[in-house]
Amino acid sequence: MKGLLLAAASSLLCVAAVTVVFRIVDVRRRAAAMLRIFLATIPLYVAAYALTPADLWLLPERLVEPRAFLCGVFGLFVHAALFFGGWLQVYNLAERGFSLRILIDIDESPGRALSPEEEEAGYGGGLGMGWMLDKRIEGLLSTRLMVERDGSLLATHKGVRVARLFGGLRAFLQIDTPQ
Amino acid sequence: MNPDALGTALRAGAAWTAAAVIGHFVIFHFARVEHRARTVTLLFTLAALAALWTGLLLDVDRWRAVYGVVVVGCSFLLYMPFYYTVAASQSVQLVIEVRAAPHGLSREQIRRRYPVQETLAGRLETLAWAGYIVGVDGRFALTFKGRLVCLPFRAVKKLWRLGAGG
Repeated sequence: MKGLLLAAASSLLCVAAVTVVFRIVDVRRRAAAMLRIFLATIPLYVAAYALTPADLWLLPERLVEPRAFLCGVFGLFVHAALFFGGWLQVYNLAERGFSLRILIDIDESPGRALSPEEEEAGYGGGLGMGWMLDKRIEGLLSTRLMVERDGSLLATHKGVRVARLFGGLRAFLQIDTPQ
Repeated sequence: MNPDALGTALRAGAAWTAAAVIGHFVIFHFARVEHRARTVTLLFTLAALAALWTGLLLDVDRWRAVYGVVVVGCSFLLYMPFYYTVAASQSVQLVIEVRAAPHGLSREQIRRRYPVQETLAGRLETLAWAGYIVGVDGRFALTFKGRLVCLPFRAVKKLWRLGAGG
């Protein structure tokens, strides 16, 4: 139980630090900044685990774990899952979610209702749908999955590897159309 | 009582997580699944119940048996973003298409492959089907479920000073 409690505390500390950084500093690569903050919380978790008593001054005897190392590793796994599967996904959805952006556009519109034409023009707070595709392309260029040469976009070696992996998985799982 | 209760519970959680992932691959490979996300969620729910049952069966006390469920739950948190990247990421789709084209693709060719009206119409249809929006007189409004999803994310965007996004 100690590992779980410290994982929860570390996760909350991580998201609090992310919030402070995002509010104070203009961060360009936010996902990378979040990852750095998460990595910084790992030694804090380890130190807290090593320096506190097994019962955390409050746990009843039945919740004290005799296998301290395993309990510590378990807590670290939970902390990582809460970050990669939780906070980072919240950020990804808020920053990149196509469906979510549509919902927000509708909610922010004066009549709280939009026609497809209005959404197409006003997508992304007025940037328009064409911007979405450009944003994806720029993202692939900046992560070096593609390069642009003589007006053509080409997959890099890294891009080829990614295409092979994900293309293979999509074929195996019979996924042909994005849901 | 099991002397290695924590280790047993964690192993049970890991084993049932592996079973859920294998089940996902086998089912999706051999059958055409209509409700994909729901099916994966169901598989992990069954894995969580199985982890709990295994723990109790192996004389793990109730508290530690729940740790097996936590392992499955955390694995689900990690697995779903991976699955969605495989299944629905537009960026991944773009890389696959660019790689498949012998001489690459120009931005114009990409725009022609992803006509915005069709992409938007498809997504509006999906959102309506899932109950997040409802169409009235050619316009779409949020349902209660849609607002329930939208509001916390609007708050996060404001709190973290994120841009328009999308």
